[in-house]
Amino acid sequence: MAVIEAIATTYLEADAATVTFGSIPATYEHLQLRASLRSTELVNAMRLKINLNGDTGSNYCNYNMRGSTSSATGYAQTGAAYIQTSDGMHGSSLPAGEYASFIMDILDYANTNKNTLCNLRAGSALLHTDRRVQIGSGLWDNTAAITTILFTPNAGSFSRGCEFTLFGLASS
Amino acid sequence: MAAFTVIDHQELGASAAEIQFTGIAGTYDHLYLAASLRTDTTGTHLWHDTYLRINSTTDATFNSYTQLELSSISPVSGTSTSGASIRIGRATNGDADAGLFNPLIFWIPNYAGTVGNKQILSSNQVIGDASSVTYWRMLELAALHAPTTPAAITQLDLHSASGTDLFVQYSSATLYGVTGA
Repeated sequence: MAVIEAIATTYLEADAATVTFGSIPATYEHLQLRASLRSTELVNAMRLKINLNGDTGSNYCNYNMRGSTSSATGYAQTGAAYIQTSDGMHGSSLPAGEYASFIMDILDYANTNKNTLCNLRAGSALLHTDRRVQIGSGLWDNTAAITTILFTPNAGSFSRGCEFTLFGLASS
Repeated sequence: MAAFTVIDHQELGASAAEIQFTGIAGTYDHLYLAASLRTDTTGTHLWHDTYLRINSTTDATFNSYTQLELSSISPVSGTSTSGASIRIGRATNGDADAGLFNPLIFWIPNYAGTVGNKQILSSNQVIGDASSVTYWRMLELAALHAPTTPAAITQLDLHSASGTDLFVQYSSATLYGVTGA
């Protein structure tokens, strides 16, 4: 087995309200997702929402540090219904063809002794005057192994051309 | 040759003072480490510093770092110009919510070179309490290991702040070797 394997890739041939990776095997040590993101909503940038294993309860925490043009801010949230980035994707008011970049690491995702904590990185609107870069962390307060990841834009749908690839990282 | 190779993976079956990677071969271009850590230390801030020792060095003049930190919700930056080990991140402690281990990821490019110093780029987040943000922390850190005589990195030791603090059972770390084409 290769050390890094692509578990699945979703490339959107048409706009889609959500993107889901299901039946994620527990055979890797870590997960990494890389995505290219844009929404149909007529805004510059927006949040990306993430739910794990179908849980939509208030069981998530969010922690973000965001650079916005020339200022830095922090954001922390308990009891959330999803993990979210701080403006981690583009809206449709940006030039056509501009997609934001997003990387998420989930270490030890199948270890049922550990709650799930995701490492999030995103950059958006980099050719626009309303620029964003963010480093973040999302906690799912649950020790279950991750088997499903659901992505939803905060408004609108994922635009045609969005691409998501989920990788598994082995430890042997 | 594969781009990523697992050099070693360790998951603690019992508490231990250090997670060590020894005898690291010089056959890769870069090193990448992914760890999930928790300590047995107690303290109301719910986290404890995690340190990286390189090549068993204890000379404080060898190490320095610059960090960008999110402290609760305030971004701050800082530097250190000395330390026997590099404070590479933080891990939840024994007073944190059960099951909360925190991620630490770092890269060491060109680790096997014998000319020039070694750079480390680290990313770490700590959430020790799911109901209060007071002691949440996020750390992005760039470190320099600059021994008097530059040498390939052959050993990495992750350890806590003092010899009596332990990483708890299920703490884990995977060290990868990364190779270009």
